[in-house]
Amino acid sequence: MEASLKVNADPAKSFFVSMLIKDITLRDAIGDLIDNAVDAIKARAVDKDDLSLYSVVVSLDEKGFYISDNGHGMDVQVARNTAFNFGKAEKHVLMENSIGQFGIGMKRAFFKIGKNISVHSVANDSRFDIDIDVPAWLVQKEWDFKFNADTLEENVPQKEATGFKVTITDLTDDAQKSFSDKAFITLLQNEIEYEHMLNINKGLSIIINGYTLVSTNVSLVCNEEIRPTYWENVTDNLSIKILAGISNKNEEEGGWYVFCNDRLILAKDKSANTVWTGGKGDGVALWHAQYHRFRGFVFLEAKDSSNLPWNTTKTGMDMDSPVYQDVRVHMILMTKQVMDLLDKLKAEKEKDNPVELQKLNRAIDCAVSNDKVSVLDLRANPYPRLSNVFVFPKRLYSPLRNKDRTSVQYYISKEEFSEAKSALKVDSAKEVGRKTFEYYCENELWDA
Amino acid sequence: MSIIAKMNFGMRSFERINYLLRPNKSVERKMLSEMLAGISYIGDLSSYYYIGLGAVYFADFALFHKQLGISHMVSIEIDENAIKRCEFNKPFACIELRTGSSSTVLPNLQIDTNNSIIWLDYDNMISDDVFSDIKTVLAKMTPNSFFALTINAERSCLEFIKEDGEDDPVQALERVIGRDRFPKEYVGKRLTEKSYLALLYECLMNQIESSIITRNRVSNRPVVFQQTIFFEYKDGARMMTLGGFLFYEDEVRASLEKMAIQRLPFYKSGSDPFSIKCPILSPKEIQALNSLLPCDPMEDNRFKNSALNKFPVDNNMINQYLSLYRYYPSYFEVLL
Repeated sequence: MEASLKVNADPAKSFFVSMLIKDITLRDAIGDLIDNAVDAIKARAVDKDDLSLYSVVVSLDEKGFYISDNGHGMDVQVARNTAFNFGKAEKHVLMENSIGQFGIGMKRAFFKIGKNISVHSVANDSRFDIDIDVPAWLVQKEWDFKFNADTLEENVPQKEATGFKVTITDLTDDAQKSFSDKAFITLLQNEIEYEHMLNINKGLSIIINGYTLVSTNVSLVCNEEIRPTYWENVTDNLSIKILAGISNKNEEEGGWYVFCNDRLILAKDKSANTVWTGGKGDGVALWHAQYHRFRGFVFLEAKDSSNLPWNTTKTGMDMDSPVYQDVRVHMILMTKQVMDLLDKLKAEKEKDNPVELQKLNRAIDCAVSNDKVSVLDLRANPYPRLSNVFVFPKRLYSPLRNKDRTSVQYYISKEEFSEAKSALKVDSAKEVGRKTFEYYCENELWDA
Repeated sequence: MSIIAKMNFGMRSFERINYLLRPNKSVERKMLSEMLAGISYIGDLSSYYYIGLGAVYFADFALFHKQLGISHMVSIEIDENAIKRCEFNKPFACIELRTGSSSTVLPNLQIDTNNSIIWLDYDNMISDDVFSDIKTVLAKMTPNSFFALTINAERSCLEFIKEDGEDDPVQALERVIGRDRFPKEYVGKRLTEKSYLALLYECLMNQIESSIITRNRVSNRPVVFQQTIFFEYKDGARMMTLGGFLFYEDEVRASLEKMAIQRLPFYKSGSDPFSIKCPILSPKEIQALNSLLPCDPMEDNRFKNSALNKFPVDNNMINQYLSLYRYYPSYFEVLL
C-alpha cells in the first residue's frame, strides 16, 4: 500500500486487512485457495472417492498468481452473501466460524498475495466476474466488492463448464520475492503433495507450475501376525479413526499424521503437539532412532468443519479442544502399544546378538518389505482384521540373555591399537578386541 | 549404573528379599484380598482379570486365584534374564507372562473390554513409567475395576538418585519426578520421612485426578477414582500403596454401600495412610492374645478387656496387633 492511499483509507478497513494477513503465511494463503478449490470439486463430484475427472491448476511467478479448478463454481448467492461480503452482520458469522468453505480464508489469501485480483466463476445456473483493486477498495467507504455488471447472470443455466478462476497481479512485496524463489515453489509443491495426499490418491490432479503432484502412498505393515492397532469413535457430528503401527525405518517419514476432512494438518509429527513430550510430559519419550519405524494416522471428519479441532489457519491442532485432547489420549496409548514392539526390536539387537538369531527383527524386516497395506484400505475396512491392540509375534522375540554374554572394555595405547588394527585388517575397535580375544582362545585354551 | 543396581549391587529385588517372608507385605496382600472380595456384590468377580508384576514368587497371584477365584491372570516381567525362571515358578497354569516394561505392555492388554484388578507392585522408586502407567490404566480401565500401585517411599533411597552437582536430594527428586509434576510447595524444602510420603501421595493423586479429568472431558457418563486404600509399611525399605476403584460417578455411593468396604478398618480415602506394622510377638503371646480377641478399641489409654491391660507386652504393640491380627502371618520352618 502506498502511503498516500493509506492516509485516506478507512482506518477500520486498513486495520482489518493488516490484522487478517498478519495471521497467515504466504504458503498457507495458497493452501487456503487450494482447499477452497478442492471443496468446490468435492461439491460437484458425484462419487466423493473418485476425483479423477477433476483438477486444480496453480501457477505463480514474480509477476502474478493464478489458480483455477473445474469444481462446482461459486453460486452468485454465496458470493454475494458470504464470500465477497464484509457486511457487519456477516462479519460476526465469519469470526465465529472462520474456517468455512468461503469464509475469511479466501479474502485473507487474496490480500496476502496481491493488490489486483480478478475472479471468474461459472456455476450451474449463474456466473460472475469480480475485479478487486485493493488500494482503491481501501479508500472507498463501502466494504462490499462489486460484481462486474456485464458478466453477472443469475438463474440462467450455463453452457460453459463450471469452475472457479482467480488471477492476482500487482503482488505484495512478500509474494513477489517468494514467488521468484525456486525453493519456495518446490517447498510449496512438496507440502501440498502431503496436505492433499488423500485427495490426490482419489485421482485429483493438482498441478503447480506445470508439475502434477504425486500421491504419497501411506501404508502400514499388516499381515497374519502383525496388525496395526485401531480405534474409532464415529458419531453424526464427528468421525474419529486412529491407526498406529509400523512401516519402513525412516527418520524423516516416521511420526504422527493427522487429517481433518482428508486434508493433512500435521505431517510426520514428532513433537509434543501429538505424543512426543518426553518422559516428564503427559505423552511418551522424545522421538529418537528407536521409533523410526513408527507411523500413526488420525482421520477426523465432520460435515460441519467447525466441529474439527484444527486452528483457523489449518496449520495445527487446537490443543485446548476437548475433542483433540481425547484423541490425543488415544494417540498416546496407541503409541505405547507399538512401542512394546519397537523396544523389543532394539533389545533384541543388543549385546551383539548375531543377526540370524534376531528372529523378531527378521520377521519385521521381512514384513516391512512384503506386507505393507495402504492406510486408506485399512481405514475403509478395519474389521475384522484390526482391534485396539497392536498385534505382533511376541514368541519370536529372542534377545541375548545376560548370563550368556559379557562385555569386555579396556583402554590400550593408540599406537599399539593402530598396529593391531592394520595387521588384523579390520575397521573397528570392537573387531580388534574380538579378533585378539579369539586369537588367545584358539591358542591358549584347550576347550575353546 | 541404575539406582537399583547401585543399591543392590546388581541383584534383582526378588533375589534380595524373599517376598514370602515379608510380614507387612503379607498383611497388605491379605487386606487387599478381603477388600477385593467385595467386588462380588457389584459384579462377577471370577470374570475379572488380574494384572500384576509377579516376579518369581507370584504371592499375589496365588492368593487372588485361591481366595477370589480369578483365573485370567497376566504377570508383566521386564527382566529378560528372569523370564525362564518366572515361567518355571508360575504357581498356576492360568498365569500368562508378558515380557516388557509395564508402560508398553499395559496398553496392549484389553482392560477396556474386561473388568480388571491391576496391582502394579513396583519395587522401585517413583519414575516416569509410574506416571505413564497411571495414565494408561485410567484412560482404558472399565468402571468397577480396581487399580493400585506400590512404590518405594524410603527417604534414604533419595541419596542414590543424586547426580553430580546435586547436593540436595530434593533437587534430585524434582529432576526424577519432573518439574511439571513436582508440587511447588515442596521445592527447596527439607524432606522428612512423613513429608516425603505426603509428596509422593500428592504427585500420584494429581496424576490420577488429571487422567480422570481428561477421560471425562468427552464422556457423557463421568467416572471417578474412589480411593479405598493408602498403605504405608516397612519390611526393609518403606513402601507405599495407593489404590481404589474406578466407578461411574452416579454409582459410587451405591457400589460402596453394596460392597460394604468402608467399614473395613484399613479403608482409607484420603491422604492419611494406614500403617501396617506387624509387632514381633512370640507364638505363645500370639495365642494368648488371640484368646482375648476381638476386643473394642482402647478408651482412656485402657483396653476394655482388662486382661489386655495386664498383658506383659507393651500397649503399643498390642494395639498394632489389634489393628491387623486377622491378617498376621505365621512362619514355620519346613523341610521340603
